[in-house]
Amino acid sequence: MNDRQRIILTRIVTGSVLLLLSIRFLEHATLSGLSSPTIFSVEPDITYWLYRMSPLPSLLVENPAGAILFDILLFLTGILSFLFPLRRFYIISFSILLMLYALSYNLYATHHLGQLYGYIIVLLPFWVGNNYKFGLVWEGMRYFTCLVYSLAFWWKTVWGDSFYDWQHGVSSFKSNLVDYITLNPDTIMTAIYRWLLRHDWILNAGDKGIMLLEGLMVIGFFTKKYDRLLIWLPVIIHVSTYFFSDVFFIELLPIDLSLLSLTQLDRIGRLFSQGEMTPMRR
Amino acid sequence: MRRILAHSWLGRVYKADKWLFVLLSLFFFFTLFANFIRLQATPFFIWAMYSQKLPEKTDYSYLEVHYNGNKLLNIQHSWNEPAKNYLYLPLGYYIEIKDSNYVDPFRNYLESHWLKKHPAFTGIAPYLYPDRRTIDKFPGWYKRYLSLQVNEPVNNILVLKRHVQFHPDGASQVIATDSLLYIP
Repeated sequence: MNDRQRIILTRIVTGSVLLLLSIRFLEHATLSGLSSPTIFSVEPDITYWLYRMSPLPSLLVENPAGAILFDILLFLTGILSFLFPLRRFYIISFSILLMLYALSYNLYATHHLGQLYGYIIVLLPFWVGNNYKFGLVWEGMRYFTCLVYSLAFWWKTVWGDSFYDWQHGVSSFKSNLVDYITLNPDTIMTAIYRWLLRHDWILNAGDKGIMLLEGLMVIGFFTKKYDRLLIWLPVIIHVSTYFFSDVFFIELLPIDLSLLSLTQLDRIGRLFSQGEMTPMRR
Repeated sequence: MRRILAHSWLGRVYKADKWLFVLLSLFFFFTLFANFIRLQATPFFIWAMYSQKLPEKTDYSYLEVHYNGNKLLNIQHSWNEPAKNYLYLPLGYYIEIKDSNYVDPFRNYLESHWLKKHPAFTGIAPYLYPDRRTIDKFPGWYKRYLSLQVNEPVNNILVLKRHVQFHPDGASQVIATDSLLYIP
């Protein structure tokens, strides 16, 4: 990977994370918007135990001034990483703050939500300075992305059994959308949902289809030939679950960017070229 | 075989930097190990969401929040999930704690199972669950957070649990309601 490709990749990844964080900011779901939450749950995860025992949660989340300062630094380092992609200090700081944000959010949400896991991992490869080694670690992110979806499929078929439960689609649909359908009986989406409930085989088949798409990501371990197609599978999965499971796992998609090839990065670079994306000094 | 290994991703990492090779191998190993023992230790995540059977039920339930008398909290878009999580998850957790005589469920788990096997960690246990003073601050925080979300001062909150049945035509109908919490 050369400097130019690294610049483009850094900007795509930090840009997508910043966009998703902005939604969180507008939703009052970044630390300054959480209004100093009280109860928390560490769950049986040793990292959360250590985090809770440190002074950081009370400093960054429970203290309003600390939370505001944290948000300012989070967005500032994110924007600086976007503007100066080759200055590693900014992206290292951004990745640490992003990790702390994810831990804090999950701790006080009293539930450790999987959609935030990507934030903890996705910027770590950018810590590596040498472009060749960075390219190798980013390739590791590609394998990690394939592993995530392959493991999700493995859990549903081998360690768990939801793949063999035909009614799983309609059951999860009803569990997740019961409040929306009941509270909004006259919307277009409710009309669509009611039609789907009358034809529940579509929901059940779609549920299995999503699981199979997760399983297809295993191809990525053996060849890169199909990356151009594989990159769309997580998009299809998360857009489907957005509408039919009422979950916002779209936030996991920045890790999916690791399936972009160098050629694709060059092409994206050319789209934004003509002086706009000039390399910033280290 | 040796040539294939050398040209593999890990082979190339090994050639480029031995420490990086160790670090990345350990990361993937522990990710697989965490999934194998079914115990997460961030950043070694397990990916078990929706992996268990979900038997179809006759009724489904959800929490319904009313504020300032008769105003209803109604979050309509999935992209509102980051806020929705904070409006419903800690609320459900608080109700669970309150119904268990103000004992946090995780505290219960620690004291009745985990600490019996690992008594050396008894000293750190109180840091791992909210104490009564923290729990009692919840209603005040919830009012503050809800005010921010609905963009108006919130004076009182009523939390109901609605039990709903689906008709064959896909329509839903509330069949029972429990009153769970009132915050004056």
